[in-house]
Amino acid sequence: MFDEALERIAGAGVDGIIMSRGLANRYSRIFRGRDSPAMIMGLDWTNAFRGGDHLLPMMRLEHLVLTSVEDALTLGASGVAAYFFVGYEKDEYEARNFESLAAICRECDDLEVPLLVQAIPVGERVVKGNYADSLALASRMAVEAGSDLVAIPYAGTEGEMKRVVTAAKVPALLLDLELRLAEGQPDLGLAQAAGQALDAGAAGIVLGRRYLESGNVTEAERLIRLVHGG
Amino acid sequence: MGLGQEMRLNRIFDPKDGRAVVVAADHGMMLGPISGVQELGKTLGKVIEGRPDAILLSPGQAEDLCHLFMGRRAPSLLVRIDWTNTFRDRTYTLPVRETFFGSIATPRDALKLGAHAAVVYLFVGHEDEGQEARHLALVSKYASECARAGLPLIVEPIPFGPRVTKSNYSELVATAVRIAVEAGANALKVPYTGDPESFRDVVRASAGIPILVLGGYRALSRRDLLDVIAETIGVGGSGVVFGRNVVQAPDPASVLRDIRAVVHDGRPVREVVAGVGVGAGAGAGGALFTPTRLRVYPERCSGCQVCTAVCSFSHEGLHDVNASRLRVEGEWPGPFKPVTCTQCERCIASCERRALSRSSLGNVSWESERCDLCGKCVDACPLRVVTIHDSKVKICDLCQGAPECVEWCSRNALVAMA
Repeated sequence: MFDEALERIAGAGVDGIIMSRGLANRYSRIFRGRDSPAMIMGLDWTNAFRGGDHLLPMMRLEHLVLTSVEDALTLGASGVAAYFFVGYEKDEYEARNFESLAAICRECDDLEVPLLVQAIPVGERVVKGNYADSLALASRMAVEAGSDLVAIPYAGTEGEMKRVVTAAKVPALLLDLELRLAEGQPDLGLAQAAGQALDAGAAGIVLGRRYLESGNVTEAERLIRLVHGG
Repeated sequence: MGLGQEMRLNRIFDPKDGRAVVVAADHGMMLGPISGVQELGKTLGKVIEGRPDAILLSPGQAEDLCHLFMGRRAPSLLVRIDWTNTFRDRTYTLPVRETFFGSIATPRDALKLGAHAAVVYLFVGHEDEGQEARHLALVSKYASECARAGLPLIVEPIPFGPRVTKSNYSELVATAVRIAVEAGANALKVPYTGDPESFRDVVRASAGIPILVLGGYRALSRRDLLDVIAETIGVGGSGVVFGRNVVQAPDPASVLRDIRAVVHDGRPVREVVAGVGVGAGAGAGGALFTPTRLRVYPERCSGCQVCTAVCSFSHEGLHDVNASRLRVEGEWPGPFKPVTCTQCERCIASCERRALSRSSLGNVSWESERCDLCGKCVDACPLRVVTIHDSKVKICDLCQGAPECVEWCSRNALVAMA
């Protein structure tokens, strides 16, 4: 089931797919040939996306690096991805997350591997009023640490999106987060948010889980056309 | 083979058919700026139009020309991480006196340059067997470093040294191939053994590791080039690594389109040469390089007269040996000697009315309006291959870049030279 969904989304023409280490091993055939998407290896783990309806809802945000950049290269990755969160309950956790991000950045510099950081404000301290500022902070911190591109959730308005994208300095992708991580954030459809983000200078989209789950690639194909034109 | 090695190898060998068309452009590191690689960026721009699966470069050029390898439509990059002086024969500056080989970069360096594979030599047959052992140790080291880096290793096993003879050559290629496979090669770049039967043995020796046949030699014609490719594919070869035959061609993209048609589409060579649905076209565009003269090998000539017949037929539309712009001397059973224009220009110098000149294509061209058929050019020709026939001056025009006599000579007694 997952296999088919993955194959369909690869066939739809996405430029890359973020995979975990274990899955990269199992689904290497998706990445065979120059026409296939690039394999981007997710290096870390988090419980941030376990929402209220999850079996084990997140009680305290945790983040952990599992895979080295060197291992990702050995497994055939063209790039690597990592998370960076702001809004941790304890500042120490944010500091630890930033420290591990910086270590990944240095390893990427050394091996000349491009790094995509998914910069996400999360937790009780992030509210509608400080969401865009938190997003700008997270993405800019990731860039200053050495990220080559960032993926950020929708900032709330096109104006805010433009401010955050401009502040990032590196190419920014719109992150398709289904979870409304800040109370009161408007829930635009992805197509509308993507249109605004691209107008604001974003360089593309990271499609979320729902595009794999639905098994329907028509919407994904439409978004790919929106990004690349044609 | 590790996952990264497998994935990167699949970006060189098309997963649809397991074959690859690779262009080698690393000559500068071994031979200096030979023709075709002087302005490498420009040449490769033309090469890439022909959609090669990968291009082989030295580390320096890979860094300099990285923009050519960006995007998913771009070819994959192969980086040579070793060096040798052994190919500097007597025609190059500082011909080799003693062979050296060695590492110039690590697999890790190649990976950082964005390589999809590292390429190295393996010479088998050194006079000093210690040299061979050292070379094999080096290749083994590359193999383990490549495995660790997730980078495929393409080994080029080459029989080498005074112990290599014509009679043991193809067996030595098979031996060298097997040694390379056992040392950990993930793919091979192998010289052609001359005939499909012996190449089949080479493929067998590779134990399933894909084999790309290398150019190395100067193909005499495009048909000759494609025939070799078709022969190797027919016995289990996986494609080609061609260098000079592509980068020195006036239209590299057209050569590559023809090669792709044979390698990836399995098209018969005769159709491809005829330009059926390939778009190669005849004439100068179909040539591998622009010939400026013909070279004659009398000892190969069988006296069959196909060259004189095709010459008159292609120029006059009739088979008439007297209308031919070359002739074959000698009586059955030989020896024979083809006599062709040497491009000496004495005819041009002799013409008072300037009816003869050298054209932009490099051949002698004749303008009928200026000519009064005085015959001075006929007298001036030391080889008597300039004639007046049917009120026309007949001088070899090299068929505007694709000499028919060369194309049709089955013995390669006539060869076009750049």
